[in-house]
Amino acid sequence: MEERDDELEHLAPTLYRLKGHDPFVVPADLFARFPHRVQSSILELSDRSTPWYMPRKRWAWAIPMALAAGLWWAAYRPGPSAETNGVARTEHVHNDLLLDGIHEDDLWAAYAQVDGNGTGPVLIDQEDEAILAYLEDAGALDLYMFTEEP
Amino acid sequence: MKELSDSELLDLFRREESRHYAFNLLVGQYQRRLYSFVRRMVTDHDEAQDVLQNTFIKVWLGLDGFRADSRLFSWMYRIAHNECLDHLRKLRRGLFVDGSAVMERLTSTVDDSTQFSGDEIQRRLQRAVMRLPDKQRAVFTMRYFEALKYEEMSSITGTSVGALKSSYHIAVKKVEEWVTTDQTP
Repeated sequence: MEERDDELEHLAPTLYRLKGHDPFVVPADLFARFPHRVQSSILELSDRSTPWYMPRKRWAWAIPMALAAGLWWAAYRPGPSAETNGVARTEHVHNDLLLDGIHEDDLWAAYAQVDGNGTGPVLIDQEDEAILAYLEDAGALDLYMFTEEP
Repeated sequence: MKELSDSELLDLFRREESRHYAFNLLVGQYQRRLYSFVRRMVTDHDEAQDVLQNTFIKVWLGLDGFRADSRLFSWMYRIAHNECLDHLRKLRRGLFVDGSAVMERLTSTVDDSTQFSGDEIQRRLQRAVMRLPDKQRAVFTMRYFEALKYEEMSSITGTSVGALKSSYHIAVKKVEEWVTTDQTP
């Protein structure tokens, strides 16, 4: 403070004379209200910056993390035995895949047995299930076709 | 009310349960000094309140990272100083006009009796100060009105003590001349 006064006294006598007066009008209750105003804006800011679906407390992150871990475990846990798997798969095989394990020659042989020339034209556009039903009805379906490697 | 030291305030602030309480104390402790500086820079009370509020929001957001290598007050003052300069820049951009329109806007406050209570010579002084470029006005305000030490001003503005002394010296001479010869806007 002393430093400033000395400086000004010589350099700017008018400014020196005018110092120390604050002519700006300040509302009487400003400094009583202002801290509340700041706190409100901070709370508003933190509300805005956290979307409704985001946890507000740090520990609350544990809930979605636990749920995610549970879902992951349910989806990727070690599977059941190979035999059980096989049964389960069998139940979901699409009809179009029923003939996948059959050698083509065996199929044509079965056709030939039914219609005599081995062309089987009536079956060309049929689904596997229809072909199998047709051959079975005609007594031309041998079980070995499903057990031998194609 | 007894003022808390920087370290006491920071200790309270860093504890989750007393975070808001500590910040409330901090605002209460520093608001007058920061308001005084901001008000002299932007002159209008409502604008000063907004600038000061933005300052404290930035303080809240940055306080966790404050490393206490300077005083808390200097750090907050620096934020307020930057907010003021930013506000004045935006004012110029927003008005899309030359400096004289901004000057008119700033000096209109001293003609408003609800905002300014000084006599004619005080009015002349304020108008003269507003003729200074923004950064020089900040230096003048810190030194003449707020009585800050040059070292503190250096930490706030990031300018050397020598440069601040020169800037203040020049500003004082200009303002003195404008006031005594009534060359004010």
